[in-house]
Amino acid sequence: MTPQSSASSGELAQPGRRLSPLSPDQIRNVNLPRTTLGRRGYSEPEVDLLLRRLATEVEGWIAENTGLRVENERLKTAWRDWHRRNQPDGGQLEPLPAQRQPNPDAVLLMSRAQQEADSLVAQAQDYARRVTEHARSQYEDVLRSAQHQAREEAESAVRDYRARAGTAYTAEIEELERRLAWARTFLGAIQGVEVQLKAAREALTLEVEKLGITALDSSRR
Amino acid sequence: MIDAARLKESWNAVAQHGDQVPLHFYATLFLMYPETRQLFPVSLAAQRDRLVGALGQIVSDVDNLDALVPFLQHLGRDHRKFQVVTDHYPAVGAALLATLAHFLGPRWTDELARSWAEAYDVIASVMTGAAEDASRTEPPWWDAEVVSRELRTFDVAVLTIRPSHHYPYRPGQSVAVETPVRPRLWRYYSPANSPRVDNTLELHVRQVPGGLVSSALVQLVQVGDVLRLGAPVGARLTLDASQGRDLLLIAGGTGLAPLRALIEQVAAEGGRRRAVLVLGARTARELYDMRAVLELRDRLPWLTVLPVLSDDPLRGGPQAIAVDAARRFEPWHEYEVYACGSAEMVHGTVKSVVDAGVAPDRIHYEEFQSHQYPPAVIGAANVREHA
Ligand code: HEM
Repeated sequence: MTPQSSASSGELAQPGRRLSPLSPDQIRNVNLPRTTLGRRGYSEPEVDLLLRRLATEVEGWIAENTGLRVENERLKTAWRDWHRRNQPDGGQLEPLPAQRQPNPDAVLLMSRAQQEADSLVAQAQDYARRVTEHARSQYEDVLRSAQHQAREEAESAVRDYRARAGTAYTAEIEELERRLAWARTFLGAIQGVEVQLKAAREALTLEVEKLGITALDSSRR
Repeated sequence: MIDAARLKESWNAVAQHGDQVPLHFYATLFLMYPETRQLFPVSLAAQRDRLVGALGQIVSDVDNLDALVPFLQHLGRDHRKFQVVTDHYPAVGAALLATLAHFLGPRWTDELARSWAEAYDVIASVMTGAAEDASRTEPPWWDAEVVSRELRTFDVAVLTIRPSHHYPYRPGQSVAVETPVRPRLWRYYSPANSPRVDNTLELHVRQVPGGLVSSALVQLVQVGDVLRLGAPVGARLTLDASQGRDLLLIAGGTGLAPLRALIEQVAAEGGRRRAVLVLGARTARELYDMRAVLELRDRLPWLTVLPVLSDDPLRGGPQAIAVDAARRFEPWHEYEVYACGSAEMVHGTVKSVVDAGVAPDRIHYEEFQSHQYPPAVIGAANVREHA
């Protein structure tokens, strides 16, 4: 979501350098440069879909890896304990580091919960993004077609005027006819879709509110 | 004696574990010190790349302390808006050490542990020292009431907010904003006005699809809501009154905001230079602030305004991107050039201006860095919301 966390495609593919693993968040926010129109390239929605799936998969791997790492830790501790218990002198051999370390199982549980939360927020955000983009393109289509329609009506109003004006023709009245027809058609077309737009906006607001899961704990306010 | 080379080496080894490292760090921190959980947002996906990465890099860079100090002081002062206090620092230090110990296994020796602990203490004391100094002169954040919210286009809103106390900023700087609907998420915006007597700020917000904070500001925030503001940051888009060259201001979308503030600053200073504002947008509808811009143009004889549309199928006439349209004001080297807009727009604009031979120190823009660290980015408002 922030430029900090997004990788450019260049960063993704630097040969010869060992990179630290990509996080699901970096994959979700990867910036692939767009090709100019008409050039060969992969279709954008397909790439988006692939990236979303990749991010979800990587999330899965990380969760699995976390599990394995902690399991490993537990085995080591168990082994050490066993070893110590079986020492004749009661385990003076290998003192545990004095470091305060929380229980590995708790760390695992906590990490999983965090991953779950991150993933839910990311999904909600992704969904909201698509809804917003959809609403936006609908809005633009509506305006574009209203304007197009209005322009055609205006031209036909001008043709009508010319046909019936005869010698009474003046350029000012022609312009007036053009503008009137334009405005009438445009407003009509917009009014017709106003309801639709309102619905789109309401859906959008709802999605945005759903993102409020990030505000689960707003108790400090 | 801290052995910085060994710190770096061990940090690089740990960083190879990628996202596992911050996951472990936060789980450890929150288990050992549950009271720290509420300082962080629910999702830590973005933060995971930030705090922990910066921690490891900064602490292992302790031999470079002189260069780091200004950055750390800024960071320490800035952490007050996250409600971080001095007592939290040992907790983060302990979680960091526990995380290193976990990933380094047998390579984590007492000696290495001591080096890390010492280095962390040095860094933490610079940050907490700066925070304590700052607390004598300025609040950790400013409350600011939303006075009005106007939806100007489908996805751009103009908010007027009134900080409860004097908010000292310079035109061109940025303000970190937190909303009550999205607690603990901060995003940067630049005020579109120079300081006013009534203390109000105008924020221009474009809703980034899926953007948590921008969507809240555009769709949900109500008049009367109280936002929080961090201290103003950034010096890349500010204007020094003592040098008097003319200004070429190239704006894209809501990148207009800081540049409009600069125009107001020049007006407040008596209008002793000329300014050209080239205002780019895709379509005419996206010129969301024309009323204010034209009002300025009518009032200020030294201001020229050129709106440029890049992609309006309904308009005849030339379609261009802002920087190309700005060529009519060449030669550019007479100007101080300011560019603000999307990363792509700024990048393209700066390239054209550099290619035209304008000296780099005359070109003003914010970097869009992909990392908060190294300290070269002090104060750059590079956490604007991008989807
Ligand atoms: C040496 C000590 C520390 C360093 C180097 C450090 C570094 C950073 C950096 C670079 C950021 C990102 C800055 C930004 O987004 O504006 C950050 C954010 C943050 N830090 Fe620290 N930090 C330190 C100590 C602490 C401590 C002690 C706490 C409290 C427990 C803390 C809590 C936070 C929070 C809550 C955020 C913002 C979270 C977000 O926006 O997602 N930090 N820190």
